[in-house]
Amino acid sequence: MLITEIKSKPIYTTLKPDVRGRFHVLTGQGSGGDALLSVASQIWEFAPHLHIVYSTVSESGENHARALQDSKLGKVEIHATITGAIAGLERTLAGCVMGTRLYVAGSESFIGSALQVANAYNLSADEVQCQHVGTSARRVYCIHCRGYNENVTTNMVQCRRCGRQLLVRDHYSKRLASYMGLMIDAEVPGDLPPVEELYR
Amino acid sequence: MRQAETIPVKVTRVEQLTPLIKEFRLSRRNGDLLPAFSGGCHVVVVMPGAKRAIRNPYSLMSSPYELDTYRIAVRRMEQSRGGSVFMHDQVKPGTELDIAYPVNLFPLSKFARQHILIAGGVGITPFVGMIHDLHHGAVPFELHYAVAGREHATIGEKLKREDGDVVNIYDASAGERMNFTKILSDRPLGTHVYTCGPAGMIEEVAETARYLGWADSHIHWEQFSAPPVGEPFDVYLAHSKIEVHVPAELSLLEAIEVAGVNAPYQCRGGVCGTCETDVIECDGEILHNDHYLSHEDKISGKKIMPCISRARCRRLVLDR
Repeated sequence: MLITEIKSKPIYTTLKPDVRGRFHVLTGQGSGGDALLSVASQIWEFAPHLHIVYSTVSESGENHARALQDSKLGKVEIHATITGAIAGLERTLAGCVMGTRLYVAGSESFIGSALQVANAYNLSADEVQCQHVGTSARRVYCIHCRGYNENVTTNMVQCRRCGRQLLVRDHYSKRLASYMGLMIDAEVPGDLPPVEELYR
Repeated sequence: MRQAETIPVKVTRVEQLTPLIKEFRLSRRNGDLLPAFSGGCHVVVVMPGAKRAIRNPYSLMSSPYELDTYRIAVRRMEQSRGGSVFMHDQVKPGTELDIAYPVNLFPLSKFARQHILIAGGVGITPFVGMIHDLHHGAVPFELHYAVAGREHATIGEKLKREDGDVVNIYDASAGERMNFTKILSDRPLGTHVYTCGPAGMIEEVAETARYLGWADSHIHWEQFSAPPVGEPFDVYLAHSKIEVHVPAELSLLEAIEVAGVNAPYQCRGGVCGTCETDVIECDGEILHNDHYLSHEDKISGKKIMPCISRARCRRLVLDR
């Protein structure tokens, strides 16, 4: 149901060093740390201005904090939470100048949050690369109560804020960094299709 | 695509702004308001030349918030195909002209956090319109304007009186030169640069920005080229089934129009892409003069922009 090409989603790629950039900001979470380490060592060859913002929060349990710190590739910040890393990214970009490139590696929710910050600084598609690693679980925005539901892996979810049964749509909002969740049993309360796990 | 519709206008005022630039004010002949536009827009002015209509694009300098009058500025170009000389010598208050609807090929980025405007000579004109728009926003901007001498700086001096320190005028006759590296270095994320002026200036700004690591999406320019005079050649229009001769002093688009074929166009300066035409056959070389087609398209020999480009060949067949 509703599995389509999602045009509104960010484009994911494998991180590659952009030799045209002068300053390079890398941010990631969990298993994304491996991708950051790989691209950072390539960037280091031509640009000594590297800033890495990493969060150890991980679904898979992978932690690359030590490897990133030991690599001595530029300045490395480690955060225990996602919100901490996103705030760290915000502070970093506030001090950056034109000529900067941003590299993001992590879950879709993490990428979405990082891109919200990038958009606030008017970073364009040719200044940002994103690599999706780890979980495909969705952040779902309840269009009724405006609550966010993290780590949704099923076609339906009961909104953790207002309790409505939501259908998880493929409509992705970059502005909200979320998929839209829409009440599914408004006409006939309790009439629900079977729950399926779709986004692992 | 339909032939661009035109608006009948009347010249209400002509003012000599600098030794080479005249400003013209245009209003609708029936007194109605003109179409809304945004800073960076241009209009194509249709002039009734002696042998044929001349169509030249000019940026709108007036405020997008005042639609009873459009203002354009025209620099006199002696060595050209006659449009600017016609405007300077023939057009007086009361002259009736036609203009195409305004088109914006040089818009301000709506999400920018800072704008840097760089102009040379008559290239100041699109920025005058843009600055009217910028006054209504909170995004900071700077203008850097190079002129040949103080007597050429009238437009910039008026802006400086209104906007103060954000307007910087560089007088070449006094040895003042812009330092693009200094202007573009250490700018906050989200800065956009816009250049309008001589080709060398546009290129140097873009090169400096790229050298400093700027991504292309933040580098903007506008340059209307005039169609160059070239060797005459013949073209066969496969769709209309007619043979057209392109004389030395007419562009391919103009020759097609003289032959009575309606071809799409908008900027007539090799920028917008509206006139793009497929080449079916060419036994020689296409002389691309546009800023629109990609390098790959140009070397493929399969596309041509008739408003500005020509061919050196015995037989050219176009899908038109």
